[in-house]
Amino acid sequence: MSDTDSLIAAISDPMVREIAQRGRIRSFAKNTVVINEGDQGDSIFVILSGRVKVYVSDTEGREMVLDLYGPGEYVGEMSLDGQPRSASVITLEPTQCSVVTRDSLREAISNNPDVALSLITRLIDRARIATDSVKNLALMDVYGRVAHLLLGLAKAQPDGSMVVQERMTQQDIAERVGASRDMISRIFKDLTVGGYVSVTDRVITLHRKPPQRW
Amino acid sequence: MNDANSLIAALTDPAVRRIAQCGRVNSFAKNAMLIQEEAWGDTVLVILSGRVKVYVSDAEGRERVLAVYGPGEYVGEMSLNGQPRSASVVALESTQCSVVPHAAMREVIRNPDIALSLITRLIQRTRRAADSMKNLRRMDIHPLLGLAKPQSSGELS
Repeated sequence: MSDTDSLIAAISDPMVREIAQRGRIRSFAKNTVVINEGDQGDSIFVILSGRVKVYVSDTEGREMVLDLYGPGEYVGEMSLDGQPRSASVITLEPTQCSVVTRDSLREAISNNPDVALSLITRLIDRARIATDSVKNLALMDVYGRVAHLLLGLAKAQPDGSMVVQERMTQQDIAERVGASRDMISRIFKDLTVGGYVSVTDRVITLHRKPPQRW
Repeated sequence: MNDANSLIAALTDPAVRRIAQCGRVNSFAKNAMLIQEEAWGDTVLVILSGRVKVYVSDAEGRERVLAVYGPGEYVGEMSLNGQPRSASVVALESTQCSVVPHAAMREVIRNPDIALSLITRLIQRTRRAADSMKNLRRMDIHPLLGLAKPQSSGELS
């Protein structure tokens, strides 16, 4: 069994494994743009190793990160409707993917209804995340979005504090919540002075739960 | 053929017609809540006549409309993954729907054409949400500042 075969065999979800088996393996260096928003393209990328970032750019060229994905997940399925790519995907480290064409994926769906169900479930999750972001952007201010993001990513510690599991710069946070870096910097200053948050070496600790509204 | 059957027969998309055939027809008055955000529910509603509004709201009752749908469209498929309703749906006028249990829906999407039709619809919903997201992120105003002032760079700060 080759190296990539064993990577495919290691995918825990049998439906994702079935999709990956129909693709061609490709390796990408770190910082490679694998999918470019607005391009035509009809392949999906099942990640076998490495990590990718999915992001959209607005008309002013500012980025908004939608999500990060790793092994066993896939990106690019949004173009199954025949329309241009809805977001860009860039590798964050050297990454191996199984690249599956739309025709092969359709074949997998026709052969096995469970593959379709699995894809539908994934698309529902994505649509929910997108709906949630719209809700947060429309109904919460930037402060509320930052608090929501930090609480969502933080894990409770034995001492009662909460630590954000992902190391993030203020720029990363700005991209995640759709705000300027300046704004995030001001909010963090307020949160730090208020004793809610401290940041050491990019590790963010929440000492108590920030208020819902500032 | 009764009235409801002819409404189902009039649906142009064969996949949607097939889904609607699996349900029971129900009528809703104007302003009736068809789906309540965060409630549990296990039905898909195919709209046969009338019009509905899909929206999300927060604890203070502020709303954001996601879409308005009419005959031939359906709502409620976002809970097919077993999670609570992701948005509320209210009838904007008197509306008839075919109410399809999720169990029947899961059965009918074993047909690859119907599965692909649902897949396309979900992708379009996500695309629409992503577009709203891009428009919304321009409103970047810190609550402490009250009114944002344009800077010399032209950016709001």
